Amino acid sequence: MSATTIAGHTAKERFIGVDLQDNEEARRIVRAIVRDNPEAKVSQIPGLIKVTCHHQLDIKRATVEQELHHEWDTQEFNLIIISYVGDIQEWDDDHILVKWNTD
Amino acid sequence: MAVVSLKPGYEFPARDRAEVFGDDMLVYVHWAGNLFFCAAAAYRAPKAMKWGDFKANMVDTLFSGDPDYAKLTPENTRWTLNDQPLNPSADVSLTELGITHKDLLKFEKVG
Amino acid sequence: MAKKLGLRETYAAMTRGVNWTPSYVKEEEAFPYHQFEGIKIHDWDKWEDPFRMTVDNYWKYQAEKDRRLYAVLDSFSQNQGHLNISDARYLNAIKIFLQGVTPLEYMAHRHFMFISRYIPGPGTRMAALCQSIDELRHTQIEIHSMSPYNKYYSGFHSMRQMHDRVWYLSVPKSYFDDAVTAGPFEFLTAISFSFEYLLTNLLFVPFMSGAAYNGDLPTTTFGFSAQSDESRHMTLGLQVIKFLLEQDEANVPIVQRWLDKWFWRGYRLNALVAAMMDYMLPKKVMSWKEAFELYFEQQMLDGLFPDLARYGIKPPMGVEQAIKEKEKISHEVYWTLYSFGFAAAFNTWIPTASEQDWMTQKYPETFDKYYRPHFEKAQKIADQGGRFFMLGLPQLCQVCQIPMLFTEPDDPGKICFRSTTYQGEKYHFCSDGCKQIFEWEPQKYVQSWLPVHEIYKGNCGGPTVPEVLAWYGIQPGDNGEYQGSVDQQNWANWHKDLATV
Repeated sequence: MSATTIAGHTAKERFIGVDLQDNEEARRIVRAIVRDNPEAKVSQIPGLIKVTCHHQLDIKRATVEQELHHEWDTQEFNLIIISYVGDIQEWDDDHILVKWNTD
Repeated sequence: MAVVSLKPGYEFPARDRAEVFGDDMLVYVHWAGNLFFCAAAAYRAPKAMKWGDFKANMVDTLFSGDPDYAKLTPENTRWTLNDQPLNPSADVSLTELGITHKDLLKFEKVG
Repeated sequence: MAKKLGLRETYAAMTRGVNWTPSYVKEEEAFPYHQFEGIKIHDWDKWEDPFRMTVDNYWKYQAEKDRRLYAVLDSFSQNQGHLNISDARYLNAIKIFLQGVTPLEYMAHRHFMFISRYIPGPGTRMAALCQSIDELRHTQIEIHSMSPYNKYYSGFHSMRQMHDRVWYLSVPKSYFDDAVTAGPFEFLTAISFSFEYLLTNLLFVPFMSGAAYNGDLPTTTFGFSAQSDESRHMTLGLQVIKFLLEQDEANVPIVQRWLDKWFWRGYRLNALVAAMMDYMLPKKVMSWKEAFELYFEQQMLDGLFPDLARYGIKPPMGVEQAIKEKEKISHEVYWTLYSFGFAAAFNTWIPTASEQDWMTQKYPETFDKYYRPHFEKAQKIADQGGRFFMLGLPQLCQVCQIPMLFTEPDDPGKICFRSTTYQGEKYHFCSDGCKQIFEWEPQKYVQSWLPVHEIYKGNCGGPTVPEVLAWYGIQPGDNGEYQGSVDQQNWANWHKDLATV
């Protein structure tokens, strides 16, 4: 899908991603995200970690549990998420998948 | 165009219509070309007020807050009313000058 | 023991599973409000909530969020945390937040409760119910988080009274009143989609990061706690739009019109945030322009809108102008707040030399040419013992109610005046967008309660400035110049012994 043409606007690369609180739990979850999504880019501003990907971002319970060393319910993601960009396509017991509907 | 409403008859009188202000009216004054004053000023002024009084007691009071206002003289100031040229003289009333409710006056330093 | 239900099954059981069809009243008697806007819904079961939030999980996680927040608040108060913020000037942004945003959270609580009662779809009702309770939580945690400051600083004491009366607060108030007086689907498009999904990041994400950077522990904590709910609200917003667009092609032009209106309404409201971000955070995370480019242009225009194009939805009216204005609005709005600071419930000041240099660096096209000269002139007046105020009342836009301070899209030196006549009365607007919104629904905006006109009608306590300020609930010290203010003097006193500690 081609980018929308808007006067004065320079289209940049499309991405999806999540903004997370910068705390111990989130840092471990980010490690899991990076393991499952090798192209993920991690950046930081005060208080906040931003993880972005070009096509899709898949947060998998099994990998998060390995990083946290305890059981993790995917709904616990509610405790650290600040914002996201994209469309949440799936959120079930095993994973959370964020992507756009058109690519 | 009409408001899409739950029931027909969605009509209300304008809250700030001219009659609400009786013998007065609202007038806006803007110093074009000098955005040290961030927006036009709003005044409530008697329709019968003489231009000279309006200028001295309302316009000058506010706009002299900028030291550059002292550089304006009747000769180098151009006035417009709703973007049409206006040549006000001191002893003429606002109504006689053609100023009506919610009109916009602008002045500008020329030369 | 039976196997525990998965998320998907739990969600189905606890939303659609507990829905029923009314038998002793007609459907249209139970749900009288969802049809008059012309929106066509054929199958409510097509509604999907990706968060799959159910009541049991909702209480569990919300309770945990609150526990984390209140632990921080207790510790902040116990440790005199207010002394550790970057500078007392910073708190003026938080005063505007409390006066302007917190009462909107409460309005959102009320109206999402209405939505959760009157929309026939059980999935939508559940999402709206959660959001309604969230919004009440946000109101409460914001008041609780800011109350420690109320003990030590001016301007935090009468937000509810101020919100209903003070001139600059009529901007957020009228925005939300406009939304709650619309039908339920317009409200959802306005608040859930156009505000929560398209624009809310601009308010909450960089601004809360700014709070973190300026040592404001309570605001960062409530901000991020609220934002975790906000992500769910964004999902509701996107889901509403997709659902409406997929249900019937006839919904597309209606939604596009709402999107055009509510992007512009929300964007204008954000002009206050632009000024707060660029001018009121002593330690700066990013400029308004950078935030706009990342969170709106890149994430929404490049990210979201290609997804919506397949339904025939175009980027909203005014988007080109908003892009041009990113160079200007924070400066234009702050200069206005500075000029009318005698009538505001917060302090304003001339930015320091290094802050002005930061502006030059972030806004190389505009700051030195258009805005630095204002501050230089104001400084000259201050050097002679004065303080520049625009000692009068400004002309206001009939729709957004912001003073008519915005300039022509292509000329930062020229105020943008737009006007129209409707039923013999003249109306003024700050932009083509606000004028268009008026022309779509003039009967609505002829009723605008414009603070300046109300003062002139004698409805605001009396004709003099002290009478109006008293009616606003503004106490001496809340308003005016920061240098020499109560807050500035207290701050200096509290920190003067630091060198000897």
